[in-house]
Amino acid sequence: MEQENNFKAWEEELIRNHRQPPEDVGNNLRQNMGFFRLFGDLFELYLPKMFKIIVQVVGGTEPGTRAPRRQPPNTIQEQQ
Amino acid sequence: MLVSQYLLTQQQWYFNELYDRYAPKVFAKCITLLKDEIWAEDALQDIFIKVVLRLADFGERSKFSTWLYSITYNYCIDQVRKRKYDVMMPDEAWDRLDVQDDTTDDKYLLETKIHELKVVMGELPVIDRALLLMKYQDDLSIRDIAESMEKTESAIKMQILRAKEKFRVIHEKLFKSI
Repeated sequence: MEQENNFKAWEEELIRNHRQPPEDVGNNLRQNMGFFRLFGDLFELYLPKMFKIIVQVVGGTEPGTRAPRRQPPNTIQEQQ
Repeated sequence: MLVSQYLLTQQQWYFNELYDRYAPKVFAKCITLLKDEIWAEDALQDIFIKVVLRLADFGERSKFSTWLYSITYNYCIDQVRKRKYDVMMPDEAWDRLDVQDDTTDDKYLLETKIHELKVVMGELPVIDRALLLMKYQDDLSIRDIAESMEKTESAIKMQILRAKEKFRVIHEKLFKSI
C-alpha cells in the first residue's frame, strides 16, 4: 500500500485552488522575453560594427586592410 | 525534450509549454515559502526570467524540474532573508536540542493533517520549510538537495534532522497539548 503523503496532498490542494497563476504574470513574462530577444538581436547585429568603429577611432585598422609593409630603401629586391 | 527544443529553435511556443507545465507548481511553492500571494506572483515572474537567462547553462545533468525548483527555493530563501521577513526562532532553545539521532519518524510528518501541516510549516524558518518541501514534496535525494543548496551532504542531513525535530516540537505544542 502506498504511504500517505500529506505534503504532496497539500501541494495538489494549492494547485487546485490556484489552477493557473494569474494571466498577467504570463503576459508580462512574454513581453519581457520579446524585449530580451529584440535586445539580443540588436546586440548581435550592431556589436561587430561598433567594434569596428571603436578600432577606427582609436587609430587601428581593420584586420585584412593593413597597408603592405614598407621595405627600407636599400633592401635588395628579389629577382623575378 | 521541450528545453532542448526551445534552445535549438528559440521558438516562443516551446517556452509557453514549459511555462504552462511548471508555473502552477512553482507558484504553489512560492506561496508556501513566501506566505503571500502577491509576493508569490512577483516571485514567479522573476524566477521564470532567471530561467530564461540561465537556460543555456542548464546542462541536463539533472532533471529540468529539479533545476527549476532549485532556482525557486534559492530565490524565495533570498527574498525572505533580504526583507528580514523570516520566522525568528530562539536559537539557544533549539541548540539545546540534542539532534544526533533521527527521532522524528518520516511517517509522523507525512501523515500530519493538511491544515496542521500549513500551520506548523508557517512557524518554521524559511530554510527549514524549503528543506522539508524538497525532501517530502519533491522527493529529492540528499545529494540533489546538497547540490542545489551548495552545501555538503552531511550538513544537509543534519539540517533536515533539525528541521524535522523543530516540526515535531511545534506540532506537539500546537496540536497535541489540547
